[in-house]
Amino acid sequence: MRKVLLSMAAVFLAAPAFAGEFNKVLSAGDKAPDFAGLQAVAPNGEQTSLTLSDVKDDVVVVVFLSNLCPVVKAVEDRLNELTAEYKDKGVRVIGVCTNIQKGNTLADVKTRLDDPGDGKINYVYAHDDAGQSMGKAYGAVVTPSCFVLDKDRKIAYLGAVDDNQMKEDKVSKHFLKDAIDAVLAGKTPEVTETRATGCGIPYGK
Amino acid sequence: MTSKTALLTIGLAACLVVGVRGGEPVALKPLTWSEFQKQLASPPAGTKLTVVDAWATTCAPCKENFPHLVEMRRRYGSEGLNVVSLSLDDVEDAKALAAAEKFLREKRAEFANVVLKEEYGAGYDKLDISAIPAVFLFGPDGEEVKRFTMDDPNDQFTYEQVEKEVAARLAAAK
Repeated sequence: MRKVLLSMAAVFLAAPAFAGEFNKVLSAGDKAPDFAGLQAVAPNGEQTSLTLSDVKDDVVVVVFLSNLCPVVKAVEDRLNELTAEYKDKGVRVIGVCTNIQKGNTLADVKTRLDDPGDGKINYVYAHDDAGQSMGKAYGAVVTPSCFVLDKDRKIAYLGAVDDNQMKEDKVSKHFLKDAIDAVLAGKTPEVTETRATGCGIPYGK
Repeated sequence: MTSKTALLTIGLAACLVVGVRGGEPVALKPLTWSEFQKQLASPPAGTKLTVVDAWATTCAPCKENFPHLVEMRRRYGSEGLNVVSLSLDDVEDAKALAAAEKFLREKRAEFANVVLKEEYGAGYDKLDISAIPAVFLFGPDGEEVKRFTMDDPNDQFTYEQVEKEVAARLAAAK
Protein backbone atom coordinates (compact mmCIF):
# COMPACT_ATOMS: atom_id res chain seq x y z
CA MET A 1 0.00 0.00 0.00
CA ARG A 2 2.82 2.30 0.93
CA LYS A 3 4.44 1.58 -2.41
CA VAL A 4 1.21 2.36 -4.22
CA LEU A 5 0.89 5.63 -2.36
CA LEU A 6 4.49 6.48 -3.12
CA SER A 7 4.06 5.84 -6.81
CA MET A 8 0.84 7.83 -6.78
CA ALA A 9 2.78 10.65 -5.18
CA ALA A 10 4.68 11.19 -8.40
CA VAL A 11 2.48 14.02 -9.51
CA PHE A 12 3.09 16.41 -12.34
CA LEU A 13 1.08 19.55 -12.15
CA ALA A 14 0.18 21.00 -15.50
CA ALA A 15 0.90 24.70 -15.70
CA PRO A 16 -0.30 26.81 -18.61
CA ALA A 17 2.24 26.26 -21.35
CA PHE A 18 2.71 27.03 -25.00
CA ALA A 19 4.53 25.23 -27.72
CA GLY A 20 7.99 26.44 -28.56
CA GLU A 21 9.64 26.57 -31.95
CA PHE A 22 10.47 22.88 -31.74
CA ASN A 23 8.98 21.63 -28.51
CA LYS A 24 5.25 21.04 -28.98
CA VAL A 25 4.39 21.58 -25.32
CA LEU A 26 6.74 24.10 -23.73
CA SER A 27 8.68 27.16 -24.70
CA ALA A 28 11.35 29.27 -23.05
CA GLY A 29 9.90 31.41 -20.29
CA ASP A 30 7.24 28.87 -19.32
CA LYS A 31 7.00 27.73 -15.74
CA ALA A 32 8.65 24.31 -15.58
CA PRO A 33 6.17 21.50 -14.94
CA ASP A 34 6.40 20.49 -11.32
CA PHE A 35 7.36 17.03 -10.22
CA ALA A 36 7.10 15.34 -6.86
CA GLY A 37 7.99 11.94 -5.51
CA LEU A 38 9.94 11.03 -8.61
CA GLN A 39 11.73 7.74 -7.95
CA ALA A 40 15.45 8.13 -8.54
CA VAL A 41 18.85 6.61 -7.96
CA ALA A 42 21.72 8.66 -6.58
CA PRO A 43 25.22 8.27 -8.09
CA ASN A 44 26.15 6.08 -5.11
CA GLY A 45 23.36 3.67 -6.01
CA GLU A 46 21.01 4.65 -3.20
CA GLN A 47 17.36 4.91 -4.10
CA THR A 48 15.81 8.28 -3.48
CA SER A 49 12.92 10.41 -4.59
CA LEU A 50 12.92 13.84 -6.13
CA THR A 51 10.60 16.77 -5.68
CA LEU A 52 11.33 19.92 -7.63
CA SER A 53 10.35 22.23 -4.79
CA ASP A 54 12.90 20.49 -2.55
CA VAL A 55 15.77 21.35 -4.86
CA LYS A 56 17.36 24.52 -3.56
CA ASP A 57 20.04 25.03 -6.19
CA ASP A 58 19.85 28.19 -8.31
CA VAL A 59 19.73 26.24 -11.53
CA VAL A 60 18.18 22.87 -12.28
CA VAL A 61 19.11 21.02 -15.43
CA VAL A 62 16.62 18.32 -16.36
CA VAL A 63 17.90 15.97 -19.05
CA PHE A 64 15.69 13.24 -20.46
CA LEU A 65 17.82 10.17 -21.08
CA SER A 66 17.46 6.52 -21.92
CA ASN A 67 19.70 3.59 -21.20
CA LEU A 68 20.14 2.23 -24.70
CA CYS A 69 20.28 5.30 -26.92
CA PRO A 70 23.58 5.78 -28.80
CA VAL A 71 23.13 9.56 -28.77
CA VAL A 72 22.77 9.53 -24.98
CA LYS A 73 25.88 7.40 -24.71
CA ALA A 74 27.70 9.85 -26.96
CA VAL A 75 26.92 12.81 -24.69
CA GLU A 76 27.36 10.95 -21.41
CA ASP A 77 30.91 12.19 -20.81
CA ARG A 78 29.83 15.74 -21.56
CA LEU A 79 27.00 15.51 -19.01
CA ASN A 80 29.36 14.13 -16.39
CA GLU A 81 31.89 16.88 -17.02
CA LEU A 82 29.17 19.48 -16.86
CA THR A 83 27.83 18.04 -13.59
CA ALA A 84 31.29 18.03 -12.04
CA GLU A 85 32.10 21.51 -13.27
CA TYR A 86 28.90 23.11 -11.97
CA LYS A 87 28.00 21.12 -8.87
CA ASP A 88 29.57 23.69 -6.54
CA LYS A 89 28.12 26.60 -8.48
CA GLY A 90 24.50 26.02 -7.58
CA VAL A 91 23.58 23.79 -10.48
CA ARG A 92 21.75 20.51 -10.01
CA VAL A 93 21.67 18.05 -12.88
CA ILE A 94 18.80 15.56 -12.90
CA GLY A 95 18.67 12.79 -15.47
CA VAL A 96 15.22 11.39 -16.15
CA CYS A 97 14.35 8.26 -18.03
CA THR A 98 10.80 8.51 -19.30
CA ASN A 99 11.06 5.49 -21.59
CA ILE A 100 9.24 2.42 -20.42
CA GLN A 101 10.48 -0.05 -22.99
CA LYS A 102 12.70 -3.00 -22.14
CA GLY A 103 15.97 -1.92 -20.56
CA ASN A 104 14.59 1.40 -19.38
CA THR A 105 12.77 0.64 -16.12
CA LEU A 106 13.74 2.05 -12.74
CA ALA A 107 15.35 -1.32 -11.97
CA ASP A 108 17.46 -0.95 -15.12
CA VAL A 109 18.44 2.55 -14.10
CA LYS A 110 19.47 1.23 -10.68
CA THR A 111 21.36 -1.70 -12.18
CA ARG A 112 23.28 0.69 -14.33
CA LEU A 113 24.22 2.96 -11.44
CA ASP A 114 25.04 -0.02 -9.21
CA ASP A 115 27.48 -1.37 -11.75
CA PRO A 116 30.95 -0.70 -10.30
CA GLY A 117 32.35 -0.93 -13.83
CA ASP A 118 30.13 1.93 -14.97
CA GLY A 119 31.32 4.86 -12.94
CA LYS A 120 30.26 7.23 -15.61
CA ILE A 121 27.15 8.78 -14.17
CA ASN A 122 27.68 11.40 -11.49
CA TYR A 123 24.21 12.92 -11.40
CA VAL A 124 20.98 11.66 -9.90
CA TYR A 125 19.07 9.56 -12.39
CA ALA A 126 15.29 9.30 -12.03
CA HIS A 127 12.64 7.24 -13.68
CA ASP A 128 9.35 8.73 -14.80
CA ASP A 129 7.28 5.80 -13.68
CA ALA A 130 3.95 7.64 -13.45
CA GLY A 131 2.68 6.85 -16.91
CA GLN A 132 5.43 8.86 -18.62
CA SER A 133 3.62 11.96 -17.38
CA MET A 134 6.77 13.98 -16.73
CA GLY A 135 8.08 13.37 -20.24
CA LYS A 136 4.73 14.42 -21.69
CA ALA A 137 4.52 17.49 -19.46
CA TYR A 138 7.96 18.60 -20.67
CA GLY A 139 7.19 17.74 -24.29
CA ALA A 140 10.28 15.56 -24.46
CA VAL A 141 10.15 13.41 -27.59
CA VAL A 142 13.79 12.42 -27.94
CA THR A 143 16.71 11.53 -25.74
CA PRO A 144 18.71 13.52 -24.89
CA SER A 145 16.41 16.51 -24.30
CA CYS A 146 17.68 19.25 -22.00
CA PHE A 147 15.80 21.82 -19.95
CA VAL A 148 17.52 24.55 -17.94
CA LEU A 149 15.37 25.88 -15.12
CA ASP A 150 16.24 29.19 -13.51
CA LYS A 151 15.84 30.19 -9.87
CA ASP A 152 12.12 30.88 -10.41
CA ARG A 153 11.90 27.47 -12.07
CA LYS A 154 11.07 28.99 -15.39
CA ILE A 155 12.52 27.38 -18.46
CA ALA A 156 15.52 29.35 -19.63
CA TYR A 157 16.65 26.91 -22.30
CA LEU A 158 15.30 23.77 -23.91
CA GLY A 159 16.83 21.60 -26.57
CA ALA A 160 20.05 19.82 -27.43
CA VAL A 161 23.26 19.51 -25.44
CA ASP A 162 25.24 21.12 -28.25
CA ASP A 163 25.38 21.30 -32.02
CA ASN A 164 26.97 17.91 -32.58
CA GLN A 165 25.87 15.40 -30.01
CA MET A 166 27.33 12.39 -31.81
CA LYS A 167 30.78 13.82 -32.50
CA GLU A 168 32.18 15.87 -29.66
CA ASP A 169 35.25 16.91 -31.64
CA LYS A 170 32.99 18.70 -34.12
CA VAL A 171 31.04 20.70 -31.54
CA SER A 172 31.16 24.43 -32.12
CA LYS A 173 28.14 25.59 -30.11
CA HIS A 174 27.70 24.52 -26.49
CA PHE A 175 24.02 25.38 -26.10
CA LEU A 176 23.43 23.76 -22.72
CA LYS A 177 26.62 25.00 -21.08
CA ASP A 178 26.16 28.51 -22.49
CA ALA A 179 22.59 28.62 -21.20
CA ILE A 180 23.70 27.58 -17.70
CA ASP A 181 26.43 30.22 -17.71
CA ALA A 182 23.93 32.87 -18.77
CA VAL A 183 21.40 31.95 -16.09
CA LEU A 184 24.11 31.89 -13.41
CA ALA A 185 25.10 35.37 -14.55
CA GLY A 186 21.48 36.50 -14.24
CA LYS A 187 21.05 36.83 -17.99
CA THR A 188 18.76 35.34 -20.59
CA PRO A 189 20.63 32.80 -22.72
CA GLU A 190 21.48 33.98 -26.21
CA VAL A 191 19.91 30.78 -27.57
CA THR A 192 16.81 29.76 -25.64
CA GLU A 193 15.62 26.85 -27.78
CA THR A 194 17.20 24.40 -30.20
CA ARG A 195 15.89 21.28 -31.85
CA ALA A 196 16.57 18.32 -29.60
CA THR A 197 17.40 15.34 -31.77
CA GLY A 198 18.32 11.80 -30.84
CA CYS A 199 16.37 8.66 -30.08
CA GLY A 200 12.61 9.02 -30.23
CA ILE A 201 10.60 8.51 -27.04
CA PRO A 202 7.51 6.46 -27.81
CA TYR A 203 4.56 7.32 -25.58
CA GLY A 204 1.83 4.83 -24.89
CA LYS A 205 -1.61 5.79 -26.09
CA MET B 1 13.75 -34.34 -56.20
CA THR B 2 15.98 -33.67 -53.27
CA SER B 3 18.47 -31.78 -55.44
CA LYS B 4 15.64 -29.76 -57.00
CA THR B 5 14.41 -28.80 -53.53
CA ALA B 6 17.96 -27.93 -52.52
CA LEU B 7 18.38 -25.72 -55.60
CA LEU B 8 15.07 -24.01 -54.91
CA THR B 9 16.08 -23.42 -51.32
CA ILE B 10 19.45 -22.00 -52.35
CA GLY B 11 17.75 -19.78 -54.94
CA LEU B 12 15.23 -18.53 -52.39
CA ALA B 13 17.96 -17.91 -49.84
CA ALA B 14 19.95 -15.95 -52.43
CA CYS B 15 16.90 -13.79 -53.15
CA LEU B 16 16.44 -13.15 -49.43
CA VAL B 17 20.05 -12.12 -48.99
CA VAL B 18 20.35 -9.96 -52.09
CA GLY B 19 16.76 -8.68 -52.04
CA VAL B 20 16.31 -8.20 -55.74
CA ARG B 21 14.16 -5.64 -57.48
CA GLY B 22 14.42 -5.81 -61.22
CA GLY B 23 17.68 -7.69 -60.78
CA GLU B 24 19.26 -4.94 -58.67
CA PRO B 25 20.49 -5.66 -55.14
CA VAL B 26 19.00 -3.81 -52.19
CA ALA B 27 21.36 -0.90 -51.68
CA LEU B 28 21.51 2.54 -50.14
CA LYS B 29 21.66 5.41 -52.58
CA PRO B 30 23.32 8.55 -51.20
CA LEU B 31 21.40 11.66 -52.26
CA THR B 32 21.65 15.28 -51.21
CA TRP B 33 18.45 16.90 -50.00
CA SER B 34 18.06 18.64 -53.34
CA GLU B 35 18.61 15.40 -55.27
CA PHE B 36 16.15 13.64 -53.01
CA GLN B 37 13.48 16.25 -53.66
CA LYS B 38 14.07 15.91 -57.41
CA GLN B 39 13.68 12.15 -57.12
CA LEU B 40 10.38 12.62 -55.30
CA ALA B 41 9.18 14.90 -58.09
CA SER B 42 10.05 12.27 -60.72
CA PRO B 43 8.70 9.03 -59.27
CA PRO B 44 8.43 5.79 -61.26
CA ALA B 45 5.69 5.68 -63.91
CA GLY B 46 2.26 4.92 -62.48
CA THR B 47 3.01 6.43 -59.07
CA LYS B 48 -0.06 7.94 -57.44
CA LEU B 49 1.46 8.41 -54.02
CA THR B 50 4.94 8.18 -52.51
CA VAL B 51 5.49 7.15 -48.91
CA VAL B 52 8.83 8.09 -47.34
CA ASP B 53 9.92 6.51 -44.07
CA ALA B 54 12.71 8.36 -42.26
CA TRP B 55 14.76 5.99 -40.13
CA ALA B 56 18.26 5.22 -38.84
CA THR B 57 20.13 2.18 -37.61
CA THR B 58 20.39 3.82 -34.17
CA CYS B 59 16.60 4.06 -33.90
CA ALA B 60 15.06 0.97 -32.35
CA PRO B 61 11.40 1.96 -32.92
CA CYS B 62 12.26 2.63 -36.59
CA LYS B 63 13.65 -0.85 -37.09
CA GLU B 64 10.82 -2.40 -35.13
CA ASN B 65 8.26 -0.74 -37.39
CA PHE B 66 10.12 -1.11 -40.68
CA PRO B 67 8.17 -4.24 -41.68
CA HIS B 68 5.08 -2.03 -41.97
CA LEU B 69 6.77 -0.27 -44.87
CA VAL B 70 7.61 -3.56 -46.58
CA GLU B 71 4.05 -4.70 -46.08
CA MET B 72 2.65 -1.47 -47.54
CA ARG B 73 4.80 -1.99 -50.63
CA ARG B 74 3.50 -5.54 -50.97
CA ARG B 75 -0.09 -4.53 -50.47
CA TYR B 76 -0.28 -1.25 -52.37
CA GLY B 77 2.69 -1.27 -54.76
CA SER B 78 0.53 -2.46 -57.65
CA GLU B 79 -2.00 0.29 -56.88
CA GLY B 80 0.50 3.07 -57.44
CA LEU B 81 2.25 3.37 -54.09
CA ASN B 82 5.93 4.26 -54.45
CA VAL B 83 7.83 3.31 -51.30
CA VAL B 84 11.05 5.03 -50.25
CA SER B 85 13.16 4.58 -47.13
CA LEU B 86 15.27 7.55 -46.09
CA SER B 87 18.15 6.78 -43.77
CA LEU B 88 19.37 9.61 -41.55
CA ASP B 89 22.49 7.65 -40.63
CA ASP B 90 25.83 9.41 -40.95
CA VAL B 91 26.70 9.13 -44.64
CA GLU B 92 30.39 9.29 -43.73
CA ASP B 93 30.13 6.39 -41.30
CA ALA B 94 30.94 3.27 -43.33
CA LYS B 95 30.03 0.98 -40.43
CA ALA B 96 26.59 2.54 -40.06
CA LEU B 97 25.96 2.34 -43.79
CA ALA B 98 26.99 -1.33 -43.88
CA ALA B 99 24.65 -2.03 -40.95
CA ALA B 100 21.85 -0.14 -42.72
CA GLU B 101 22.28 -2.12 -45.93
CA LYS B 102 22.41 -5.38 -44.01
CA PHE B 103 19.18 -4.46 -42.25
CA LEU B 104 17.49 -3.46 -45.50
CA ARG B 105 18.49 -6.76 -47.12
CA GLU B 106 17.22 -8.73 -44.14
CA LYS B 107 13.90 -6.90 -44.27
CA ARG B 108 13.69 -7.33 -48.05
CA ALA B 109 13.37 -3.61 -48.61
CA GLU B 110 12.88 -4.03 -52.32
CA PHE B 111 12.26 -0.38 -53.08
CA ALA B 112 14.22 2.85 -53.23
CA ASN B 113 16.52 3.13 -50.22
CA VAL B 114 18.15 6.51 -49.80
CA VAL B 115 20.71 7.79 -47.31
CA LEU B 116 20.82 11.53 -46.96
CA LYS B 117 24.14 12.93 -48.23
CA GLU B 118 24.19 15.92 -45.94
CA GLU B 119 26.03 16.83 -42.77
CA TYR B 120 25.10 14.33 -40.07
CA GLY B 121 21.99 15.52 -38.25
CA ALA B 122 20.95 17.97 -40.98
CA GLY B 123 18.17 15.63 -42.06
CA TYR B 124 16.10 16.56 -39.02
CA ASP B 125 16.16 20.23 -40.00
CA LYS B 126 15.55 19.47 -43.68
CA LEU B 127 12.52 17.37 -42.79
CA ASP B 128 11.56 19.71 -39.93
CA ILE B 129 11.25 16.91 -37.38
CA SER B 130 12.77 16.15 -33.99
CA ALA B 131 12.35 12.41 -33.82
CA ILE B 132 12.26 9.35 -36.02
CA PRO B 133 10.55 7.29 -37.21
CA ALA B 134 8.64 9.81 -39.24
CA VAL B 135 6.58 9.12 -42.33
CA PHE B 136 5.74 11.49 -45.16
CA LEU B 137 3.33 11.19 -48.05
CA PHE B 138 4.12 12.96 -51.31
CA GLY B 139 2.04 13.44 -54.41
CA PRO B 140 3.44 12.43 -57.82
CA ASP B 141 4.61 16.03 -58.23
CA GLY B 142 6.87 15.71 -55.19
CA GLU B 143 4.70 17.94 -52.98
CA GLU B 144 4.25 16.77 -49.41
CA VAL B 145 0.59 16.01 -48.73
CA LYS B 146 0.73 14.54 -45.23
CA ARG B 147 3.20 13.83 -42.45
CA PHE B 148 3.19 11.52 -39.46
CA THR B 149 5.64 12.28 -36.65
CA MET B 150 6.55 11.46 -33.08
CA ASP B 151 7.13 15.13 -32.30
CA ASP B 152 4.05 15.75 -30.17
CA PRO B 153 4.09 13.47 -27.11
CA ASN B 154 0.31 13.77 -26.97
CA ASP B 155 -0.24 12.90 -30.61
CA GLN B 156 2.31 10.39 -31.88
CA PHE B 157 1.48 8.49 -35.04
CA THR B 158 1.03 4.79 -35.58
CA TYR B 159 1.73 2.86 -38.77
CA GLU B 160 -1.90 1.78 -38.77
CA GLN B 161 -2.80 5.45 -39.25
CA VAL B 162 -0.31 5.68 -42.11
CA GLU B 163 -1.69 2.62 -43.84
CA LYS B 164 -5.26 3.85 -43.43
CA GLU B 165 -4.31 7.18 -45.00
CA VAL B 166 -2.42 5.49 -47.83
CA ALA B 167 -5.36 3.21 -48.61
CA ALA B 168 -7.81 6.13 -48.58
CA ARG B 169 -5.64 8.29 -50.83
CA LEU B 170 -5.01 5.49 -53.32
CA ALA B 171 -8.72 4.67 -53.41
CA ALA B 172 -9.53 8.34 -54.05
CA ALA B 173 -6.97 8.47 -56.86
CA LYS B 174 -8.59 5.59 -58.78
